[in-house]
Order: sequence, then C-alpha cells, then structure tokens
Amino acid sequence: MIRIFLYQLKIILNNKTIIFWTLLFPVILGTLFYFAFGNLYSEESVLKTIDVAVVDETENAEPYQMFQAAAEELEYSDGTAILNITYTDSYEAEALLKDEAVTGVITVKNNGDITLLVKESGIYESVLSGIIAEYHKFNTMINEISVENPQALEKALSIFYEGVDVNVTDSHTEGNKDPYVTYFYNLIAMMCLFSSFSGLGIVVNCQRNQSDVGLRVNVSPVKTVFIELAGIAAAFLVQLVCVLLGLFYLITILGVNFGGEIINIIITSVLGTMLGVSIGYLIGHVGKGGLNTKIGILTGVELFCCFLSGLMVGNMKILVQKHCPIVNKINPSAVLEDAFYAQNIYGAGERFYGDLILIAVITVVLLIVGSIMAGRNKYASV
Amino acid sequence: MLLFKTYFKILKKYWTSSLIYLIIFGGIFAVLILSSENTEDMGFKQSSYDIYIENNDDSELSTLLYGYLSDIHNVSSETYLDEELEEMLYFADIVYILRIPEGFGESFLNDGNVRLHNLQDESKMYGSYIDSQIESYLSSVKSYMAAGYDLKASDTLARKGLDTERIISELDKGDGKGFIYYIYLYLPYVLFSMIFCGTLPIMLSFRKKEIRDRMNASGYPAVKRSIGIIFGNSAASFLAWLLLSIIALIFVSEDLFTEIGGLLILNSLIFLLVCISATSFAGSFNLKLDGVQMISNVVSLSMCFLGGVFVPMELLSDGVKSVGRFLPTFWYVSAVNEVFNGKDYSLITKYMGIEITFAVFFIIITFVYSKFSSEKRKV
Repeated sequence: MIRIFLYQLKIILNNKTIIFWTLLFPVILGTLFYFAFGNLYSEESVLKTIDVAVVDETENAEPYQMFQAAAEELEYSDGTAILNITYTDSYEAEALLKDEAVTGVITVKNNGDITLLVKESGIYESVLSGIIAEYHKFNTMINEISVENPQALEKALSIFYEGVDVNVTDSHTEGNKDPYVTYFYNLIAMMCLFSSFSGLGIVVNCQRNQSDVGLRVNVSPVKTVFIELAGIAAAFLVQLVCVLLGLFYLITILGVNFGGEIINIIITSVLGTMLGVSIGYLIGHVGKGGLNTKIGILTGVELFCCFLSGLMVGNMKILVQKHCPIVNKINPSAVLEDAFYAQNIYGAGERFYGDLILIAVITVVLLIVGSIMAGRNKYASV
Repeated sequence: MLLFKTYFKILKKYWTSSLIYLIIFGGIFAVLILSSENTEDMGFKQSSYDIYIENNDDSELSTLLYGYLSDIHNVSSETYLDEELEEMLYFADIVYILRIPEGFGESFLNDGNVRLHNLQDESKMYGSYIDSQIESYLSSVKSYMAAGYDLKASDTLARKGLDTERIISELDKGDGKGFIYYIYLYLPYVLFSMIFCGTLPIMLSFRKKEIRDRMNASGYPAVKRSIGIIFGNSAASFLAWLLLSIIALIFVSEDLFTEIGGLLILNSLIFLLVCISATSFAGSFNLKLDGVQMISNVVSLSMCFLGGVFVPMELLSDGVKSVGRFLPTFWYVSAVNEVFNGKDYSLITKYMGIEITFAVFFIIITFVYSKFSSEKRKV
C-alpha cells in the first residue's frame, strides 16, 4: 500500500500542468491581487486633507475673514487638518481645479454668500459641500430668526454653537475589516477546489477505458479500490502542501492579514483540500467523457463557483445572498470563503464550525457517491 | 495563399478557447447593462450612500430624521438579521447602519440621554460624513425649536439651511463615462487572450520540426510562407477585434459613432497591433502547446492588474504604476482615460505613440531573435 502511495505521489508530482494550476497560478494571481488591492483599504482609510482654492471677492471684508478663520481651524477627530487652502484669484483657481490640483474652489462673494465649484461629485466634494452647508445654515438661521423672532436669536445661536452630540458608534468585530482580503480567501478556496484535478487524475489513471496507466492498473493483482485510496491520499497530501505553501506565501511573504487565528485558517484549508479532491473523485466516476472533457467541465464549474463567491467581483457573495441565499450554502467555494470570513469577523464560533461541518458533510457525500459510481462502472471484455 | 488557407483550417481547431473569452466579455456587459441604473448627469450631487435605518422610536422627530436621510441616501427598505447587516457592512454593500432607539425623539428635546447608535467602518470617511449630516440636521432643528418654531417648521427650515444645491456648481467636464468606457477599458484583457490563445497554437504548429522540415523541402518559397503566416495571424487577430467591436456596437451603438467612439476604436486598433506583435514574439519560441493557456493567463492578468485595467489607475500605488509604465496596457488605459477626462489630443497621440513603440519593439526583437536562432540552427 505504501509503495502504491509513493508511486501515485510520483505520478502527481510529475504532472507539471497540475502543479502550475494548483500552485504557481494562484501564487501569481495572489501576487497580482496583492499589488492591485494590497494598499487599497489603507489608502481609502486615510482621512485625507482636501486641497481647496479660496477666492476672495469681498476685498478682505469681514465675511471673508470670518470664513478664513473658521476654515483654517477645521480638523478631523485625530487632529489632521481637513483643508489645505490655496488663496488665489478666480482665474487661477479654475485652472487649478481643471488640473485636479484642488478638489474645489470656494468663493466668498461680496454679499457674504459662499459658493463652491467642483469638478465632479465624490466624497471629498461632498465633505466640502458639508462645510459650505454649515456656513449656509448659519446665514439662513440668522436671516430667518432675526426677522421672525429676533429676541430668540441669542438662544438659538447658543445651541448652534454648542452643537449636539447624539452619535454613538458601536463596534461589531475586532477582526480585519478590509473587504479586499476576501479576494485572498477566494483564492485559497480556488486552490482547494483545483485539488479536484489531482483527484480526477487518480480516477482516470485507474480506469482501463480512460488511460494506458488505467489498463496496466487493471491487469495488476492489486484491487483498484486500494490504488484509488492510495491515490486519493497522495493527491490530498500534494494538494495540501500546495495550499499550505500558497498560504505561507500570502501570509508570511506578502504579509496579507487574513484575520482570526492561523489554526482556523489551516483547519479550513485542510478540509477544503479534501473537499476539492473528493469533487475530482466524483467527477472522475461520472459519465464516460475523457480526461480533457472532464477537466474542462471541472475548470468551468469551479471558476463559476469562485465567481459566485467573489473571486472576480468582491461583493458578488452578497448579491447572491440577497437574491438566492441557498446558492451560498451549496457552493463549495462560498462555504470555504464564509469559513475564512467567519473566523476573521466572529472568531471560532457557531458560524465558523457550521461552515466546517458543512464542508465535511459535502466531502463525505461526494466520496460516498463517487464510491457507489465506481462500483457500478462496467467495461466490455476485450 | 496556400498557407493562408491552411492557417484558417488549423484555426478551426483552436477557436473554441478564444470563444470562451468572447462569451465572458459579452456576458459581463449584458449583466452590467441589465443591472445598471439610469446614470444621467444631473450636475453636482451630494454623495449618496446605501444605508440601513432601524427606527425603534415612534416619535415625530425620528420620522423626520428618517425622511431627511432618505432624501440624501438610499435607505434600504428590506429587513435583515444583524449578522446579514454586518456582512453587508463588511463588503461595503451598505456603509452605515443607524439604530434609532425607543424614546430618542423625546429625550433629544429634553435631557439628551438617549443617543443614536450606528455601525460603520470607522476608518472610512463615509461614516463620519453621515454622522456630521445627522448632527448638523439635529442641531439645526434644536436651534429653531429654541427660537420658538414647532417641529415641522424647524424641519423645513433646517432642510432649507442645509440645501446647498443653488450655491454649488460643477465644472463643465465634458462627456460622462458610459458603458462604452468600461467596454474599451476591459477590451485589452479579452483581445489579448483571444489572440494569444487562438493564434499562438497555430504558429507553434508551423514551428514543429517535422512540419518545418517538410515545408523547407517543398518548392514553396520561404518568403511566401512567412507572408502567409503573417497574413493569417493578422486576419485572425483582426477578426477577434471585429467580433469585440460588434459586441461594443450591440451594447453602445450610439456612443460608438461619436468623436469619443472614434478615438476609442483607433486606440483599440493600435492595441491590436501590440497584441499581434507580442503574440508573434511568443510564437518565435519553441513553446509547448500545453503552456499556451498558462502563459496567456499569466501575461494577460499581469498586464491588466498592473496596467490599470482591472483596478482604476488612481488607486494603484506609485510602485505599481512605475512597473505599469513598462506595459502597453498602462498606455492604452491612459489614452482611454484621457479621451474621457481631458480630450487633450497631444496627450492621446503621445499615449498611442508609446503603444505603437511597444508594437515596433516586439517586431524588432522577434526579428532579431528569429535571425539569431536560425543562424544557431545553421551552425
């Protein structure tokens, strides 16, 4: 049995194409993901100081001085200045805006009004509009109350200056909140599912109508079931090493933060690899199609599963969850991704263990169905 | 002509792998268009986000706050479980979850002990932006009520004060980015993959030793053979480009016959030259047929991730951009962006010129390598 295991190991390791698709390709894709998405979250998370041009049309009158004093004091909660102001004339300011050197042009008009000119609609433009809105709100309030109820103006303004403190932000996780890390979860899920190629190869190598090796295996005195079992063990070992190498590369060399505990990530990868091998084992026993046809079907189906779980479009899983949630429960890639996600956000809890149990159940079902199909395979005597 | 015909006979064998990319391309845009909303340009619009409000308070103030936020943002009307909401927040499907506790309305106007609770990604600006909108609205309402106005009138005046539509204008930035932008943005990935997977196997077939020896022994001149293969390659590649252009025509027929459409078509034709020359370069090596898909995937994905096709160029780090400059896709995308952003013809011409330089570079190194390897064979 050990000898058969070693031979099967050799057969798998000699297949350069499988090693490429299950190890090198995901590693290359992971590297590209890292360069493309690695800094996106931290880039987006920085509270940026907004470049803005300010034009004075009041010739340094009181409204302009008031605005200037207020604008220069604006800062985020961490003390970072909100605005980086360039004082200039309207012609120069518009040129700066066209060249995208500033996000907006604020003009303080002669009558005390303030206008904002922007190039497009976006979050920074909206922050500027919020600042303008505060000023506009203040002016409207003074104009309105001083006409309707002047004696109450002081009281209203005291509340305005005092502001309100009504918001409490709760926290729901201590895990990594970077949504781009799900691309890496999906990548590992894809590596696990691609283990099916090895599982499929084992079955094809045991079928006398599929390969020369299969013919030779069938005339040998060893029972096919033992060869298949040794092959599955070898495929599992090789693919697990590939997945763990991939994880090592992503986590240690590239420094991707998967969140949660490393042991949970490894347990999920181990079960995922077994799931992948068992998919290949089942597909190998289904139908009479050749190896290339089955590899084509497997690749297509597995990539589609990965697409649905978010390998190509990050929030695809949410879309599926909204419109057809059952798909996320039966899609192996989505279940694996969910296990990685759950251990990151909630730790090793109910949801994580639920995913692991689901993976294990799917694996066992696939292996049982595959074994039944294997027993039913009949060949015409030659 | 003989080789040209043979070329297309072999192409029949490999066209299915190219077809997959064409189907993906068509499928993605069909989904994109079907799921799209009307994106008509309405001038400056405050950033509007997908948010979720759980209103547990039946006071008038809570209802007015709900209404105010609904006017700015897209408030989800569905009901979700906490875990579902947290997952949606994680994937930025919603950016803010507001919980209005029972008794908030009454407390706000009196002791202020009951506060609003929210979930947000605190490292993002969206959350604090919505926080400040809520505070600004409520402080305004409270100020007006202190001045003797009733709640309804305070709401109206607060909204009036915060309405900046008249005082914010948008610079005339020219034509907006429609689907045509995305079609021509993703085109390099599909075009390159189709040409590489479709034509490279044929070139490798002609490079097989026994085929090459047989052709050398025949009376068919070497020049005619090369011309036949070059024409076959060019015709098949042009066919791939034409099919993609037909897809573009189906989805964005009106936009295609404009100045922008013309510039995008010209840019894609120049990129076609890059694809043909790069594939010819790859074809001058003795590659294995099994390796075509592998090389195609690695090269096309690398070019697209690092060149700004899959991730917007402004979001790429400086290091990635520096590497991207050595890739033709970077200049292709730069040209596409310039067509939509500034339409500065000198810049567009410059970017297209760099793409042509890449094509010429590939042709020269293909020629040099072929010469070098044929001399090596003679020795």
